[in-house]
Amino acid sequence: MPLMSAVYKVQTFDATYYDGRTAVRHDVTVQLYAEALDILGADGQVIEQWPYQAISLSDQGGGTTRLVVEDSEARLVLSSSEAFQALKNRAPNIDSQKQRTLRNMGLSVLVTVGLIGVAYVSIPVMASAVVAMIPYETEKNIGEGYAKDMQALFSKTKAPNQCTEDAGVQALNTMVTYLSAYSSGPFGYQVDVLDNTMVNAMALPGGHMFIFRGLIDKAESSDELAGVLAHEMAHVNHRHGMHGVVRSFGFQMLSDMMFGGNVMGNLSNIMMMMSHSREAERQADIDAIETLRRANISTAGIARFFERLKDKEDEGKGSFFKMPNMLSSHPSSDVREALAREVQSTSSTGWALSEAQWKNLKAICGK
Amino acid sequence: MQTDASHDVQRSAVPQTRALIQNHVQGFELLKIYIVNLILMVLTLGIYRFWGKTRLRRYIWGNLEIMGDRLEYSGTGKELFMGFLVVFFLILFPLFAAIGLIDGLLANEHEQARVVLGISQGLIIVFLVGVAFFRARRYRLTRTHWRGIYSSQTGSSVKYGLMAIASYAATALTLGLAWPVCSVWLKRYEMKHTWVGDEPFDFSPSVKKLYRPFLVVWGIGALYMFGVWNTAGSIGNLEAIFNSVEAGGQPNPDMVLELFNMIIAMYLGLIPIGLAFLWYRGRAYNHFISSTQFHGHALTSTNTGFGFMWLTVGNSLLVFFTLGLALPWAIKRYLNFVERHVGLVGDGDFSQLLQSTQERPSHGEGLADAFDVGGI
Repeated sequence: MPLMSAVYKVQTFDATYYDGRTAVRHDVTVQLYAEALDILGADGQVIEQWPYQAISLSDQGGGTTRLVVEDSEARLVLSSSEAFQALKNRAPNIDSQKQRTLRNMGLSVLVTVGLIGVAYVSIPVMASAVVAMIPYETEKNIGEGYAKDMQALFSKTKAPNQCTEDAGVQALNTMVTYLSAYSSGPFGYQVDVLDNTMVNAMALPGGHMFIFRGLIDKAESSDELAGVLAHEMAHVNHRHGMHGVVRSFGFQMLSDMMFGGNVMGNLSNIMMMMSHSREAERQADIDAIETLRRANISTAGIARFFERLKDKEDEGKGSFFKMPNMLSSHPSSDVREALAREVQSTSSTGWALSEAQWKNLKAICGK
Repeated sequence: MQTDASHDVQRSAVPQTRALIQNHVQGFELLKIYIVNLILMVLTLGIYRFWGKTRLRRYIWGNLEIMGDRLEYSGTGKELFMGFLVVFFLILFPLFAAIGLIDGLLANEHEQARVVLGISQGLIIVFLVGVAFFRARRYRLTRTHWRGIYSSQTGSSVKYGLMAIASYAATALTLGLAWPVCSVWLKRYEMKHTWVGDEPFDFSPSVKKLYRPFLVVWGIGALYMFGVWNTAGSIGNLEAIFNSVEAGGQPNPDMVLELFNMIIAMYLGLIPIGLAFLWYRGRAYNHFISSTQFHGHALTSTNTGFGFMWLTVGNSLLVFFTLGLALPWAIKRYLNFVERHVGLVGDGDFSQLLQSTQERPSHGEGLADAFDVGGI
């Protein structure tokens, strides 16, 4: 090396060196050559040679730069910024702390987008697999648990404010029995009416359904209510409620663990669940039409009903953020079209609910 | 190739006490890192935490000087992220799915089954927190370098997790009295399995020395409980107030006032207990540090229980009244406290200390991240 330094002007810097084998600090001189740097001890002997390709940054701070070389525990600490610049110009794998931070920021954003994508695709699939493993009996138990919560939630006093006018209940049961012959699934159906002005209905896991008085008030014919019931029965048959429970459990867990359970995580959770529930609504609409057709009930009723519901939502009064599993999302446009076509071809011929019975049903809450 | 001794200003012929660390951490530099981390955390729904934490550690480690040489943190955000993924998919996801499933299956079962399930869940969590703490400690130690050699940790995290369960159970069953014994037991396991280079720490604490200060705290706690028990008689007032309100009448204002005073007194009574506990922790730290030896050197500590108490109270108030903005300065104050009080006795010669031969985990801290026991 002395020969070479006679030919070129070799850049030389003072530095501190740790050999990676002992806890001893060495004051050294660093000489920069074309392909590598030499580390020289106090006696002027070359201790080690580091090829530029293999050098990278460990950290920078307090005016010093700490460097590492591949496959070694040795460290070289430069104490001047000129030394760092001179080396950075030659060694391609050294980037500054700033560059590294920026790269990490970009990487973490990419990772976030990737994780959300993976969760979005995989959770519904996993939820389906989990639901398939849950016995019907268990689903019924879980559903009954929710039913109790629901009744407690909507009762102002300690007694559940369930509507129990005898004639009305009889009429409702007639309707449910008639429809259930045309809507087949693993569960039996139980329908209760809650005395609340919300225009809504919900199907819990395991076949227990709730209709709110507001919906019965809004329904102008038994065909309309039958449509809603057929729709909710389809949710029960497809175990949509159970899917929702498992899915929200999965999303909650995922967002808690991945994102530390912060607000943004919950927001993205809700957004993801919404888009899936829309798909379930579509399926329930299609099934409901099929059930009504088999039962010889006009689909004009449900079409009209959805139309009115949509108008209401357009006014901004839609309450579908407040409660899950209701007639939340509107039917998609193709289903809407199908409904419209059905309106022209079908009239209710199989219907067994008399005018008097319908009147009783409307008065099930005694109001 | 050995450097001669004159280069090493820290070395001396006669044993002497010197500060173990010199703290170069700047509050403002730390604040800048915190703010950038916070913004990125929001943008990435928290995923940036692995890289943010790494950047913070690199800064703090790099600004702590021991015997003239700064520490180096060599961990990466990618390693932490991988640790998170591994733990998430191999442990947490199956575990929580199983708990959720069992929970669902037992939804309408007997009360007893649910109680058993609840207790076993609690035990699993305590176990996992212990395992998480020990594993995170190993990761951090193997990423900490001084003069080019790294530290490490031997021992089994499973064993440590079981020790944690036993410790918490014993402490609960003895109304807290077993805590000093258990804390020494756990600390000894940690320290005896801690290495720098090719040499482990030696650790020889005495349980007896911890009991004197501990019994003071325990006594204050017992007095408090006794006081609460004695005034529990005025709970009768609560019932009387409810009864008169339910009957449609006005409650007796004297009774209301007395109840109100009692509730205030109960809360105020917690303050001396909290302070006494901090005082004990200061004493315990002092004892643990003074019981540590390494490579022919002994650590000493001059911190007092009151000193640590005021440090912690001051830091809490600082962070509280600045809405967290002064957290960097709280960290700096803490490190200054260590710099002031922790000393090293010996000749300062570490030239015989050799590089570690311990294996290093390829990723880390997933569990600690999940249970939030990672610390800085």
